[in-house]
Amino acid sequence: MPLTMLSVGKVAVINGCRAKDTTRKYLEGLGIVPGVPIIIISEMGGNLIVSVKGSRLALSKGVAGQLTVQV
Amino acid sequence: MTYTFALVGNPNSGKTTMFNEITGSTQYVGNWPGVTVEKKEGKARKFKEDIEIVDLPGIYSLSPYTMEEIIARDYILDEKPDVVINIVDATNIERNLYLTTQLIELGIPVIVALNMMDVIKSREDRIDVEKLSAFLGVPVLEASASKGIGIQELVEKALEAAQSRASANSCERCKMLDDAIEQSLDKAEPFVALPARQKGYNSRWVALKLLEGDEKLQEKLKVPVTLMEDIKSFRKELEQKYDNDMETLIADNRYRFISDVVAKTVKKNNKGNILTLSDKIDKVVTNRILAIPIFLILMFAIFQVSFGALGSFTVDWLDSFINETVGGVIKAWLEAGGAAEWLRALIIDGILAGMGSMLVFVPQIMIVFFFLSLLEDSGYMARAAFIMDRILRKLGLSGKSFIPMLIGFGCSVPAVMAARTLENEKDRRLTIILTPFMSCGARLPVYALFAAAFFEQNQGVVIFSIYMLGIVIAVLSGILLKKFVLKGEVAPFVMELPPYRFPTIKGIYIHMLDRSKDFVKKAGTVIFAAAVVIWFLQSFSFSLQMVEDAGESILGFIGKAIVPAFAPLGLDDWRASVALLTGLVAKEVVVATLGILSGVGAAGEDSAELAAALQTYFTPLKAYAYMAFTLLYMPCIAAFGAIKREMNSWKWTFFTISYQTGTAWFVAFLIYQGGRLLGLE
Repeated sequence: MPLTMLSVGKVAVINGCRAKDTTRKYLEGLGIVPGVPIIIISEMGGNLIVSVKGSRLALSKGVAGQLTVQV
Repeated sequence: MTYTFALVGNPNSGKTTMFNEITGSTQYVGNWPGVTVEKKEGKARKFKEDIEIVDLPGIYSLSPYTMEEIIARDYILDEKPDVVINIVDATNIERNLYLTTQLIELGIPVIVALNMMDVIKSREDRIDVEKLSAFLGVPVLEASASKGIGIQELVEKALEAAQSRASANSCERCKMLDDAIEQSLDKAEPFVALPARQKGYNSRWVALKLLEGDEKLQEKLKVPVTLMEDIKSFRKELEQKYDNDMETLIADNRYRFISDVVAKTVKKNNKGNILTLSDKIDKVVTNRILAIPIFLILMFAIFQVSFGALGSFTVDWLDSFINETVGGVIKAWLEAGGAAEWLRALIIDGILAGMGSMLVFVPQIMIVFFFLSLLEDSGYMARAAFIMDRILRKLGLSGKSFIPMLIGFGCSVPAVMAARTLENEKDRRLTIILTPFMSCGARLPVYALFAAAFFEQNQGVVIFSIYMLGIVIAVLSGILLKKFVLKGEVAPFVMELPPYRFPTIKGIYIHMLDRSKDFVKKAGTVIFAAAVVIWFLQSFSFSLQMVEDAGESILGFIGKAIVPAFAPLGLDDWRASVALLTGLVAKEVVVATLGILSGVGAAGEDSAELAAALQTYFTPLKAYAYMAFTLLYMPCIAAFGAIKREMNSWKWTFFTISYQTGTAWFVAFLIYQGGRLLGLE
């Protein structure tokens, strides 16, 4: 399911990214790759703050919608 | 012997703090050629060897997709620093090591500085540094840049590595990738050995990159098509074997290697997913109800201090200091020395007045930068951008445009400079173009003068409407320019939120001083030249005679020549157009010029005499059009200098000022002609 559907505080595992190449590469550098656990820390009008590999990332709704996760 | 060390690391890894610790006051800031990314260089202190330190842009990986990544990679590959010092945030080691693995692959001497070890120790986490070093195949040193610990050792180690290049050259590259990929690399490596050697690149790295399909490198090395065919076949083989695309495959491999290393070397005291203090603060600060109010209160407070009492106090104080105290001394001195009248006029009315009009803003700019550093170093800036992103995205801007816009209400110069925080070049350019539409403090005297002279009953409303006009024009321009000129999506908002930290006084001090120094030095040269030129133009006639009546000066002549351009705006008096020209030195000069040209002397904005004089050649409608023009046309020379520097392109600088001046003309035209149609005067 898309990351946007995940509820705050639940752990899920990233399993895909449908963003275009440049964004995907950038996300890879930030640790967003398949198989990595992700938690939503807070949500604000669709924009998210997530925890990945111990760091906190802000993702806009658009980017979050392109990531799929598995609970 | 001169050595060059490059600092490489993730944003927020403490790289800048480390750079400041190593170089102290020897650093200087410039731009990377052709781009508006800051380049910082300095010398290592306390070493007798000549060690040049280059601070590369903060990056998350070496894949050439962002401007920063390309700059950092090209620098390492082509400038070949003696040692790359990789700053790794030990509290976030897994993510930070991703870049490290890519640096090691380059086959150049790398030294890892495990930064923020003080935090690790206070958390009672443990990192086995020796083991980590063995796994990575490069030296690893503990450090804490903010506490000044481990800096000396780090530079010593780097120096050692530089002096014995061979041994540091990670002889046996650690195996990070799957056997199948390593085997493909074994096969591909001989093919690329020749082009790699010509550029002096590590051939195994080149093989890996080409296998990954790195087009930038392919172009750079001019790899023959036939060779690429072979490489592509290796690639296809691997992709079929793993049923995944090559890039993801390699990223996955690197992360697996890192997870494995981290599992064997890092012991965390805290287990489970307990929310950190930062997370708790974020729960409040980015809360969907509280976020905006907290944000507004903070901004209001900063605005109040910078441009309110404290800020204007410094401006007024410095103004009287420069013009009265210093000016008085120089004047007396010139008179005593029997200097020629023209020389006195040049120094007092030209240079001192011109330079003074800029220098008075220096303390205010320092206050602004103080707060900016505070916001940035504490970690709140990233949150502010996150909060504002949703609103600004609708206007074709990113959340990161907000801060420059806000500062624009004070002074366009630091505002334009603050646009540096936007890493996407298009977003940054758009922000720079729009920021001067936020009415700066220097324009207020002009509104005050005209509002008092023509709208006595509704002064407040009229001035407020001018401020609002600026915002509306910025919004419309944002939508328009995004659609037709700076096309393309706003960069997707992905941003690391660093943990909240107490900013260090030293960090803020350096930050603040750095930027203010920059401002004085560079804007000062432009202002100086402009002040002399304008003074000359308004004091001399074409026959190079000094004139009493500015109307007969070169500037007066130009003013009369350009009157036709302003006539459709209702501004058919040459004095009005000349005042706009001199307003380019600083917008408040418009008031002084109108005073001189109206024959009442250099009057203030509250002069009743000047108001009466203006009523002879302005009507309320004309006055409003004039205010709108003053608001929107190209900003003063100091801001122009800042725009040029930040755009780093004459083309974009001229586009910016043409767009602003064009908009000003068009809007004033609509106001005047529209007003006349409505029967106003």
